Amino acid sequence: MMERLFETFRKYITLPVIAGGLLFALGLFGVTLLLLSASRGAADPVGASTPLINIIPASTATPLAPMSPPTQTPLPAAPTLPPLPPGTIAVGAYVQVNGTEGDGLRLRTEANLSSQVAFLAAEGDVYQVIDGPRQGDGYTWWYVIDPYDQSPQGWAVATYLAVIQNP
Amino acid sequence: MTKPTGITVNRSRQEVIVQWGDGHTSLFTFSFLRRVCPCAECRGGHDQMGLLPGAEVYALPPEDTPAMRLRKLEPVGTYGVTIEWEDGHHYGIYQWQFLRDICPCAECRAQAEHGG
Ligand SMILES: [Zn+2]
Ligand SMILES: [Zn+2]
Repeated sequence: MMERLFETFRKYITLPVIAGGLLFALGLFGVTLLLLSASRGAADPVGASTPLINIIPASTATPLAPMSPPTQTPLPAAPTLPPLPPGTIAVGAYVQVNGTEGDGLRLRTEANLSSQVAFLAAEGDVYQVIDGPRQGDGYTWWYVIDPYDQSPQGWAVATYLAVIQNP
Repeated sequence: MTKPTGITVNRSRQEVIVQWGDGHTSLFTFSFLRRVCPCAECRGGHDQMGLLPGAEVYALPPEDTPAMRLRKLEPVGTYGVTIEWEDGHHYGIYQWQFLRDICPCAECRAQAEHGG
């Protein structure tokens, strides 16, 4: 039974069959190489994937100290701020991100929860209110801007903003 | 994998802000980036390189020491950046995927905790 099967098998494995198989395998290999190089080229165009690097120098208020003495004491983690005075948020007021439990506050491009996050403001960060209030998704929103940089800015939920007197 | 479209080094706030191609924004303090330096020396061996930092690193307060002050941030090819610190250390290469994986924002931390 097994011998017969083997015999039939041998009858079919002739030189042309072997050559054909080899050619087919070579062809497959070539196509794979071509596909690989094509997909790599598309995913990684040279030069296009280097992001823009923007360096903001230290402001004169907080200079970098490259020549600082070696015995410098580390700055306190977060300045312990006095209890926040009660106040109402208004345009022109300085506000501090407060009550996010360290999670930070999303500054959005529009006064609603579905708009893009423009910046993640850290707990304790100080901003100036320049627009608002607006209502959106059940929240009151104020447009805040970083008074030092001007660049981090966006709509913030009033719940996590506390008015401060002197930034 | 998403790549950054912009990186801002803010020296006055000692922060690095990475804007990602998918719209996400990551905000890293200088101290945090130094603490998670992915180089072999800081990780304690080449086999530890690029391992993700433990949850405790996120809770550490920022520090203002030469080791934690960023001197230079430069692109490395098209896959990451390298940072030189004021104490001279400059071996770490922060690849995009690594930077995205260590994003300290609440959203990404929650995802990391749930194995995402
Ligand atoms: Zn290192
Ligand atoms: Zn994130």
